[in-house]
Amino acid sequence: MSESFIAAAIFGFILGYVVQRSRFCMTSAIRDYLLFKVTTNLKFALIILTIITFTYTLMLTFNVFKPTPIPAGWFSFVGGLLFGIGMAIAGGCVISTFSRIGQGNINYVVTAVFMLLGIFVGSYLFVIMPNALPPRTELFGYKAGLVWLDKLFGIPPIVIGIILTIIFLAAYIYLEKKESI
Amino acid sequence: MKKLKEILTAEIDYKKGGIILGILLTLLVIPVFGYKKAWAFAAGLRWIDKTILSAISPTTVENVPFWKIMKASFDVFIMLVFFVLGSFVAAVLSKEFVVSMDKKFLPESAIGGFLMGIGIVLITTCNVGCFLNGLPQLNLGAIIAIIGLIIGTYIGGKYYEKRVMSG
Repeated sequence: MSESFIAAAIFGFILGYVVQRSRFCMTSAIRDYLLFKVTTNLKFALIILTIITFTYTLMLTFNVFKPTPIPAGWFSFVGGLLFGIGMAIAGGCVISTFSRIGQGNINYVVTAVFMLLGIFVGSYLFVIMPNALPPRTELFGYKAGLVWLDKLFGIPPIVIGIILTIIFLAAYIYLEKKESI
Repeated sequence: MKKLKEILTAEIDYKKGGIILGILLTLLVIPVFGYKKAWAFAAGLRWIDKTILSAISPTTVENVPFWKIMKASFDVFIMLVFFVLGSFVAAVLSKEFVVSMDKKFLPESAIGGFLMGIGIVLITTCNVGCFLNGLPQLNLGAIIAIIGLIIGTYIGGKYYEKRVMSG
């Protein structure tokens, strides 16, 4: 068994354990704040983002790891919209769907099965309209719409990273202070 | 031994949880720890679909360009399996493992999952891949998808709220 499989198993197990014990969920982070002004999971996400925005942009500045290629275009927005509606009506994002499967919830097994079915059906979009989807698309002159803000603005990732880190931290402190009043 | 069990079964609050996950997700990308990529489950889900399709209809994999363009990753699948296992062990140890099903919400579970699947195809990643992978890497695709995700969650959340209220 290769090194990456062992690492995947160890990290996967710990992440699953921590998510179950902490009830972290991205759907809850957005939905609970927008609809009920409950901020627990939003603050949870802001702490994670404060840490990893700094560490990731610092490491990307020194080419420690390869950035994940996520194409940008109309499909990003439409995909996000559909995904958002889906995770809100299913009552959990990908993280909480698989965490709750581990807790024995059959509803989320159904969600996961239909997620796999959705990927299968959605794959035919690449047959129906191949020119409107990556890798044939382009944005700001970048093939497949593979755009990173640091490359777009021609500045090191850590510069934007520090600004974003401060924004996430400020948002977290604002929410904490607002609730303590 | 009792102390260890107390630690392992204790609830983790958002402050501790945020710091633990922030550190874990940082370690995930550092080459020396072996995984070498940020957190997302989409490539693992594509691996499951592609493996099933290859077994039952190999021509589909050949004829639908999606399966050649998009990466399907076995090690992400392994992470997904162990993620479920980690949640299972945590739930069992803390006596929270219960096989349960809410029949009334099964249509929502199915439709929601299906929409998430279509979304994964279009974004090319999942919500974790957008928020905790693409965004901190300054990826524009993830940022555009997050705008859609927030609007979509609001729309879906409004429906969910009405559905819960109506029982």
